[in-house]
Amino acid sequence: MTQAKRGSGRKKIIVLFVLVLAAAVLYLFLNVNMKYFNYAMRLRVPKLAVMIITAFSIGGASIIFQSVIQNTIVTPCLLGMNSLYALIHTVVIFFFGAASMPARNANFSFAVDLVLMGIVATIIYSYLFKKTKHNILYVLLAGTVLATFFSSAQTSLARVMDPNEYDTLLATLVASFSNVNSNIITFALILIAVLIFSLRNELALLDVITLGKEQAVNLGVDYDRTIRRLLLGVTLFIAVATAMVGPISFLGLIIANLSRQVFKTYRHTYLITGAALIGMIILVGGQIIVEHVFTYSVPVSVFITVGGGVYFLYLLFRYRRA
Amino acid sequence: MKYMSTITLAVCLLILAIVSLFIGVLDVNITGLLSGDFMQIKILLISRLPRLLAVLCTGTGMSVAGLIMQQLCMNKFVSPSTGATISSAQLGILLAFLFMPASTLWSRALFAFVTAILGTWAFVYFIQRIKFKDVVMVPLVGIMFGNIIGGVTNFLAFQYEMNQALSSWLTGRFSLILRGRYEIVYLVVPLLVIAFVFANHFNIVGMGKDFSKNLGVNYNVVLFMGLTIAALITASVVVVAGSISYIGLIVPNVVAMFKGDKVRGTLIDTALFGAIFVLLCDMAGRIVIAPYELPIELIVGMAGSLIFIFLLFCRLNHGRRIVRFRCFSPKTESAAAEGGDIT
Repeated sequence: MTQAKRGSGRKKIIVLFVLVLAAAVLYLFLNVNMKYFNYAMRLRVPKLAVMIITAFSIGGASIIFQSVIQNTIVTPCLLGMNSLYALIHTVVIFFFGAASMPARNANFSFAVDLVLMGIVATIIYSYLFKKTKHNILYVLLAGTVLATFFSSAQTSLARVMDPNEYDTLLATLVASFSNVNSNIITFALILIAVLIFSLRNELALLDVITLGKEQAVNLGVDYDRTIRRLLLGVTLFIAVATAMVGPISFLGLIIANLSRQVFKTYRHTYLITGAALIGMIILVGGQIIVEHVFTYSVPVSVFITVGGGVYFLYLLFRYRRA
Repeated sequence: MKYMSTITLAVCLLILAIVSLFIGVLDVNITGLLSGDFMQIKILLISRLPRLLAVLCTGTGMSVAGLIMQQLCMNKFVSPSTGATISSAQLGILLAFLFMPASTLWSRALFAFVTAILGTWAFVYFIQRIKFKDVVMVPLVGIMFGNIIGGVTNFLAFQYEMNQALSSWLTGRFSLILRGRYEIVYLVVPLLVIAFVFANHFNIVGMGKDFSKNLGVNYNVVLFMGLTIAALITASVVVVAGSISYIGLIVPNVVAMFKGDKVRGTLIDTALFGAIFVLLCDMAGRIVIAPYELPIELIVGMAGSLIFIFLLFCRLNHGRRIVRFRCFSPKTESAAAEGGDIT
């Protein structure tokens, strides 16, 4: 990459960063009643934090995922990780009961969910990888189908459940940006930091992975192990996002592709930062519109699905021409 | 024996169908029926028999719709659930609720027909224009296409507070089927007959545009007719029972494992096997948490997805000799012989 290009990449990141700051400030202080300033901040700051963390996890996960499977019109949601998370959460409440420790303490319950999710996802997906001999498209198809399995099993359990426990479950499961799960912010931040630290070697290899399996192996990368670890990381990132705001299918697709369009590079430092920043702008901006224009009548995830859908069709047409 | 498999399947289906009539919360048994117990006969005629017929129509219809779509799109992973047909039909039902709040079953069905046909056409137009390199991309795009339509449906449902009304069409179930409110599903029968008549045409179209032109078959007419039939079948099932995924995907693939890809040769077996599959799932749903019941969609979702993944692995490990998922796969003699033995 030439010096000039690198400079323009940096400039773009700075512009995006300024936009994020502007959106955040606008979100925090728009229509604030000064009499209840502290109360408003207590409501808005955690929400803003949750949106920023979500944008970062989903943006990072989507870019990593797309690079690993070398296809830019899919998202990790296709692997069924959202539904796996929902299923695990339901199973925990189903077997321990709503009054038990794992269900009452948000941090503890999140930790239990994540550990289980990590174990189950590793077992299932590494089994899939082994069975399909690392043919990523088949893993993807199996994942899509498994998503139905997970959500069917989850709904079945929910139907058999005690109605009171079901209520508890619903409150923690169907989160949205208007009803964020802000208890776990600190925990999520720590988790993300640990994840990035333990995956630092693999993340550094992302640019090489993009070259394709043969080239990567040629350059001395332990390809299979690397993508397995990266995908586990993707799983946990998605779990963090799902736990905080519930499933949003198209966000990853939009922000990852927008980032690729804006930066036109294969350097993942730029791509991931860009995706995270664009995600923050979309989420915070969307939430401002939902709160102040539509006065909460439509959840932001619906907008993202419809907007993302249209964008997806546009991508398909571009994909055809390319 | 050429027809051995068909006869075996038919006998199995008959036995299962009779058994299923006697499964349920209220006690119905043969002695009671024979002795003319009025109550039991009434239950049989109002609830059990309609339910059985609806299950049979659903099973045969959805699996044949899947078979037709797979043949026409030249892709073994296309089906009403991975081809945007089901989600379009749901959108149609919602539109019917919005525009005519006092809509009857028939007017809802009309809306669902129109949207299902349009949705399927749009999807097929898309995948034909784009020409994916990999077979697996087509169902993935179809699933995302379905997600988009689902997103629009959700948005409208949110706007007009129809979420609850809609949710009953999102999860397929047979528990609400009673005499007088399911008859639309009979539309499946004439459509199946048409499908059987044109089976060979579908086969030819499945071989590609140039090939069908060579054989004097009008490619576009047959393609759109076939898709329309599949969409109509799907829509009439969705209107009555709600959406049930995977039947159209799994059943044709399982049958094709043993019987090959000739549509006319596999159509009846596919229909019978589909009926057996749905009937088994329905019976399981009635038994598992009796006296309550689990919606069929959940049972099919669990059983179906596991079977599908199993099929996928078979295909990967043994190649096309036993399981032939992709079209254009050369039909080997050994596979045909083996298939004959197993069935």
